[in-house]
Amino acid sequence: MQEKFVKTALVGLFAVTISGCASAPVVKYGEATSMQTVSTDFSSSDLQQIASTMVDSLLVFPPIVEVTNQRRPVLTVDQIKNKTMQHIDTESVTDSIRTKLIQTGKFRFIDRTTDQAAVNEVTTQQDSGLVDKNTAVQFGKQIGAEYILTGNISEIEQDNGKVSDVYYKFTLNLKNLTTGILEWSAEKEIRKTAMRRTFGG
Amino acid sequence: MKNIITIRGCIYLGLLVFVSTAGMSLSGCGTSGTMASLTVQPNNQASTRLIINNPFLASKIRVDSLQASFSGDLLVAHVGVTSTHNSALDVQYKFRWYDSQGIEVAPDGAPWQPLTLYGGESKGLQGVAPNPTVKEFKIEIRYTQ
Repeated sequence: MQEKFVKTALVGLFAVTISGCASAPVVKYGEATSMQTVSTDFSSSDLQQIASTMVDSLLVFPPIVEVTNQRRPVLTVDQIKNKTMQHIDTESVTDSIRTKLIQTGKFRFIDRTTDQAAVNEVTTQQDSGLVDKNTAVQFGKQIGAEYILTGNISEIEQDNGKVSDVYYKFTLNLKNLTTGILEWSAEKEIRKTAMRRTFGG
Repeated sequence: MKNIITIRGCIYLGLLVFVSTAGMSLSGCGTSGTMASLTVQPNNQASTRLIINNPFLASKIRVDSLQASFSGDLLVAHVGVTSTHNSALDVQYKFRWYDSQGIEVAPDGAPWQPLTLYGGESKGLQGVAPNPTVKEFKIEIRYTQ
């Protein structure tokens, strides 16, 4: 009887141990800017590389350097066209590029995505009677953008069952809104290859 | 096989090159990769320092040149590297930026970038400072995790 009790207790303890291992994954913080090669899908490191390359290229382009030495031009960003088969948050890519450019102190940006909130606020200031008319913001005083950033991302994928190869190409253009001329353009190419192992994992 | 894993585990920081400049361009820093550190001072206004945390990686890659130029008021870093290994070498590198007081600027700004060097291949790496306060840069090279 006692032996049976001990056996049951051991089996129970074993079951608890096993289930404990299975239900408690090891979680740890990682380095946000490190390269990750989990798959050939578009990844955070691809996004960071693209943003970094685009910003570096724009900052050293001689005609742009000449302009930014004199003044801080006003830019706006168009949505990047995603021509890949994947879901890519292109707004996140342009957000990173815009943030880095603002941080240089050489560019100013207009953000059209928050216009409705701005209109609501200015309307309240003008019409609610709560705000001193001398300090209330006036309509029609905003500065227009001189340049617009446009671009697209495309991919070419090849897979023969053993090797999967994905090529990404990100293109960004800076268009002068007055003249229509593309003042600057840059490309970032990324190639990722995954090889399936014949044996094991 | 265990030996390789152990080596990979201890090369986290890999090769680290530190460049300090006061608006001057410099070049000519080289190392065999077996030396623990190297300081080159071509003039009084610029200095370079090489710190090797991982001799195993340093024996496979050589830093040929370090240059700093300015585009407008932004520092541009140029680094030439050569593989001394006879097969493909996958590493990653990252620029770090410092102001005139040696304080790091935008510590999380620059991502790790992949770099593949085929046997004996030389490549030039370039980075642009995130803003005009940057006067020094550092490049870190490590194995791809």
